[in-house]
Amino acid sequence: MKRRRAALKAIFSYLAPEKLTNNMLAERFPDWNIDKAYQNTGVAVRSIAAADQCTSDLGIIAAEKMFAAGVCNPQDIDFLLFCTQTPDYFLPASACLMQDRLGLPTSCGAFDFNLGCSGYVYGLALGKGLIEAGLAENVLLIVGDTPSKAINPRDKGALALFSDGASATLLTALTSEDELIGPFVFGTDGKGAKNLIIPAGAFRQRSCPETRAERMDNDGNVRSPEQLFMDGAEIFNFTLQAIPPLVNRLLENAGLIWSEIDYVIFHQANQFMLEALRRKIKIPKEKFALILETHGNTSSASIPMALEIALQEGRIAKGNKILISGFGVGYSMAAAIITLI
Amino acid sequence: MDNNPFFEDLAAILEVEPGELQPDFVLNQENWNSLSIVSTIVLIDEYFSIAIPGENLRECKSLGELWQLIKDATNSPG
Repeated sequence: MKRRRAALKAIFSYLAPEKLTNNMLAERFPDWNIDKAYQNTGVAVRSIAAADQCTSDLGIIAAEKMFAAGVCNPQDIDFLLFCTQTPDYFLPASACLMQDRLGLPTSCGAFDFNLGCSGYVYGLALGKGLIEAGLAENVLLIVGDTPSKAINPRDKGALALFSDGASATLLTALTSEDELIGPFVFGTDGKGAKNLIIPAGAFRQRSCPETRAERMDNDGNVRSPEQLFMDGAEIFNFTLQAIPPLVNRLLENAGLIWSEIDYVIFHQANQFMLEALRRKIKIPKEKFALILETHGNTSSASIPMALEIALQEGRIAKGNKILISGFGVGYSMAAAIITLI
Repeated sequence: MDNNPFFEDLAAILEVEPGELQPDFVLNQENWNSLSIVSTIVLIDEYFSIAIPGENLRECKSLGELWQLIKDATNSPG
């Protein structure tokens, strides 16, 4: 039946300007085997935001690229969704400042939502909901983070993996026979919150001299409770156990089988982990996005960045069905099917 | 532990010859770090379809202890 549908119209991304290469890391940590870390993460270069550059600034550049390309005008946007865990302020929502800076109409709705690796999929679900309920025509979804600002300069494990960037996606209303964004499946397991967290500095544990004190862990990485902590082993365990059933549940809901999926984009968490997931789910290599080498782990921006690259490289085309899945910090997870228009 | 493909793959992670992997093989800070532990988590998942908490793996001091942990986890009902 023909009805009002949300569709993904365009994606424009922006990586932070400064680069941190493996050679630079090897110089900074002479006793550390960067080649081994590279084999695991798959990351050759990370992007680092300038000292005065926030995620919102990166997101604004991405959105302005979209406007400059003539995809749409700022006046056309009637809802701005901004997904980040590295906002400008505790309050107000960065999305409110971005409405003004991007020249979006004051009749535009705007809010932030706080998710990381899973955030893009949740953002598509929110945008779809707004459009298909008739609450918005053109939703601008901006996602991204500047993890580098929350990482201790002596935490080589986290430094080697994360990268700063943002991505802007335009969702638009059209009339179509088929669902173009969705179906979706979601998942949450707050038991894993402690395994990927900035424990102090917000309202549960206020900033104080103790929360700023640095400690060294068993691997020789240094951090304070106000900086990013990740238990990589537990994140691996979670992902390997939770994601195969999640994406299989999605296919079942969609009434599709794996051979009907043209391309698969998982959150670009870590190359070794993604390869293990790919083997476990039995996804062919040529259908599986990997952009860690050049992009690093850009949190919520990793899926749209991989989607944009696949489009540019002609790996995917109109009518293709793309399976996307984001998972991590929370633990929060989601997966969806996107049909390209 | 000879001729068991799991130990051949584990030897590659620990960068030793498979023959060296006897129960008294020592896991120390050099060979048993965050990278080798996450690699082992993937290996255990592939061979046994189980998840062992990273903290329990980290506490293993020898290959024998690691093997016992895997055996206990594969035999336990949940």
